[in-house]
Amino acid sequence: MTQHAPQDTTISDTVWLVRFANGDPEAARVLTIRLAPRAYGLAHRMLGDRAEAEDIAQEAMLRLWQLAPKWQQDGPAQPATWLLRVVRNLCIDRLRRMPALGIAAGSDALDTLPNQGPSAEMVLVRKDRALALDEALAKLPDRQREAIVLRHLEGCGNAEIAEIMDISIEAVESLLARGKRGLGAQLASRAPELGFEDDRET
Amino acid sequence: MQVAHRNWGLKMTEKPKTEEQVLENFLATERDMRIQPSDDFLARVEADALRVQRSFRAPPKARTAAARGLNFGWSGWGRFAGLTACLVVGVSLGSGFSGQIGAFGDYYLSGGAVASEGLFPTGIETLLTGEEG
Repeated sequence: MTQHAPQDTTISDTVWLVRFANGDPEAARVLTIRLAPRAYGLAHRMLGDRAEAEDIAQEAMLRLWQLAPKWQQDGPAQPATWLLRVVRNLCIDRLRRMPALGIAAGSDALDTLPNQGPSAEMVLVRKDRALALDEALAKLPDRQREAIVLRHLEGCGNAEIAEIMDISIEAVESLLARGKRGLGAQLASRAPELGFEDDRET
Repeated sequence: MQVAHRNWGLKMTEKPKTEEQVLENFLATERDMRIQPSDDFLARVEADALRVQRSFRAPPKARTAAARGLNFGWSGWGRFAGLTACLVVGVSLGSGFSGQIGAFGDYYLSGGAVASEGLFPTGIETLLTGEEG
């Protein structure tokens, strides 16, 4: 399967899900390409383990497939929002059973990052920055970290985050503000060593 | 010992002025390096999807002949046909064997049919016919 297969972005996930329920095999492929990476990404950020993240994401996707015939096309929930909520809940359950997970969030991620970019040095810089961010995220309280990841890394809106985390939009805004303050304070001291202030020095 | 900053001689374009800008730079780097799932994982998810999808189209589980017959007899034309057959049989018996039915009734009410089957306890026949006392 290619991850870059063409897909019609004008058709919503909900419509594809209805098509899936009606037996369209193309819908299975499109929804897999659209949603599975998001489910995997969130699980990986919460668990910090590739194998566990794949397990959780596959389970969440399976629940989506099974729910498809009963999905209400005019309902308020979007498939992606529903899916991320399921992923989050499964991750929380997994973390309760296996507390060792999630402590070193992103620890195995850097081994699999694509070596793209202008040079090997630049790739190393970017990996160091990503590692610094992962370490800072791991030190945040759980809910602040979830809100930051959903907003700034998964690209969810505040209303969507509120639905996923089952809290009010005001609570989301509060978590985001506190989380960003905490992250900013941790990362500001590391900015020079990670090359963000080169121009200031020269 | 002073730790040298690792800049690998790069000319960075970012000029963060605030903590928020610093954070945004880190987040942007992270987004650019989004962790992609493996092709193998995506293939497994799609295989799950197709397997579940096939189950939507699968025909209902085959019923036994008895279940099919019972279902036919209790629904639609089957029920209508069954009721009609019962009606025909009932009318036929009533009209074709009226004499025999009368004789059988007399025989039955006299106790002969019951006694012949030996269903009553010993001595009950004499009580019924009143031969003693």
